[in-house]
Amino acid sequence: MRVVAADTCFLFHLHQVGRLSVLGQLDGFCFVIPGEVHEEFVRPKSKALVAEALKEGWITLNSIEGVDELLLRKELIALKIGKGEAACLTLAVSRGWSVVSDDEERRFIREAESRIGPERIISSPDVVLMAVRRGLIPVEEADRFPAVWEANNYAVDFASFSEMLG
Amino acid sequence: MPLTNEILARRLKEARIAVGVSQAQAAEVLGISRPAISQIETGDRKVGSLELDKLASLYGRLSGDLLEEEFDPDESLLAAFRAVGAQSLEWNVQQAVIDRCRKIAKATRELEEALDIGPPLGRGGVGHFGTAPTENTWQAIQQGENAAILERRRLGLGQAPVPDLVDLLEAQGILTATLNLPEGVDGLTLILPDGPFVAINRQEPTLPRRRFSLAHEYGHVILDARVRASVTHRDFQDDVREKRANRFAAAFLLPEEGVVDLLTSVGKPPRSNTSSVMEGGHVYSMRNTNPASDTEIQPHDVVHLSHYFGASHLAVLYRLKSLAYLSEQNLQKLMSARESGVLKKLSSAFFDEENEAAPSASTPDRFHRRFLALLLEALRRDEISLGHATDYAVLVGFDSKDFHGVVQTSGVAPMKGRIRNPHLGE
Repeated sequence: MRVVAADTCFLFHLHQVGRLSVLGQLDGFCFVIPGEVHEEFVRPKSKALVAEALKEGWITLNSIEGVDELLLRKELIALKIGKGEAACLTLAVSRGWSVVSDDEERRFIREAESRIGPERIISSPDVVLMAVRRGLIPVEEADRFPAVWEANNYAVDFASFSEMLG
Repeated sequence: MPLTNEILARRLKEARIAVGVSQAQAAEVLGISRPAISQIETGDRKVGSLELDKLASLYGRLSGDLLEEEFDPDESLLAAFRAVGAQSLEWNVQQAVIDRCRKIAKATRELEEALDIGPPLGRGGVGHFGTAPTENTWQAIQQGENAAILERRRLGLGQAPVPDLVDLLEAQGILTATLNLPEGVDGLTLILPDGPFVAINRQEPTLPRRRFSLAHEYGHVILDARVRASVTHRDFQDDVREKRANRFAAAFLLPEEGVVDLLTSVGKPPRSNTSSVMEGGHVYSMRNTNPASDTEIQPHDVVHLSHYFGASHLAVLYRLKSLAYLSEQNLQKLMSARESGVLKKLSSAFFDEENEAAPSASTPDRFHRRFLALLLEALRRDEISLGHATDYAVLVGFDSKDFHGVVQTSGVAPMKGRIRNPHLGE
């Protein structure tokens, strides 16, 4: 089982394309949010969204515990990484998990790459592509996602998932 | 000695006891049972990161403080806050105010440091008069008046109105912020290791009252430099420190000679035979308690002074009373004029009343605009992650979604994604 610490942006990106539920269908993967990420859902609609995901078992909630993890989280926050991001990376480093990041070329991804290596970092497009390959999302539907994300301030560097299936 | 779970457990207990919080109160904040708190404090149950954050906040600390190599249980700002008479505030309100302000101060300093920029106008060092605490109202008021005179002299202000109080305080090394504070709290002052932090309440609707609150907190920085946390609450007005800071603010904003000069210029010269009396716990100079009718202070004089010095009508009235321009009878007459709206009408008729109104509590003001600019620049330079910037934006009152919209519009940190693992799960 591959455990992935997921942040707020990742959950929103899947929600924006109406496919948050796919997280519960990906055999071999378990998506976890730390309490810090859970707290970032403050609007009633967002709260309802994450509550549904937890209730349906698409994601689970976990907590940073113990001095070693607390010190690591403190160190990451001191590097000016957000609390939610720092919590995800702490869990990934400490427990051998993977982490999701949708913010390429920026501070967090550099820190994550140096601490857990690029192979343990995945993106929203990775998850969608995997779901397409497994027949959980039709590729025609997935090809509409980049435009939706673009409209929500998230630009991807490819035109369609079809071309990625090659 | 390296930090262990057992040491952390002991620190949590010491920190709780230092601020007089019960296990039951801590349990309520965490939403867990009292025995669970007990287990955390004996090391039988590991504390989670969010639990640590909440407990640290409850105990007047940053969670990182509890994880430092050195730990002093008596270093809590909350304990200092309570020591100056804040007990009458709800304990959770005290905790929330201290916690938020301390975090905002830290965030602002951190952003300034990340951008390698000096604070506005290059913060210098504030003049401390280090006046010993007093329980005597007379002495306290004299101390406030004298400190204002000395501070104006030190700053070379002469008798002129203070042009911009935020600029002035920032130039003295004082970080200032306008925040939504709980009802009844006008402002607070924290003396932090990296400099003083002063916050005033954004709920205050007029600029002159905000200026007075700012000058009042300035008084705390100068006169109560050894008090690590002070709160200005309407229930604390009888505290001598508050009276002292009030007098400082009045004398700083409305210097005696400046008031005299302005009134003389409109045919209201000062009277002779000044003496001081104490009345109902207040100290007043007595020039003439029965002025001739032609030199009696009128509502338009109050409005004129208020506009000239940027002070509220109320502050002007009390200042005129303390400078013996008003008898008790005159004061009551002008107070009635204020309450019936005469002063306000005069303001709008002869002066630009728009200048009096502060931005609404939901409108970004100067502090928020600068904070936002710092955040965007730190993002642009990649000195801070988007998540961290969002945490800070939310801390000062921005909505996270609105903030992301601003980030997007500004184009400083576009979020870009790609396929990282094309064969994930295969």
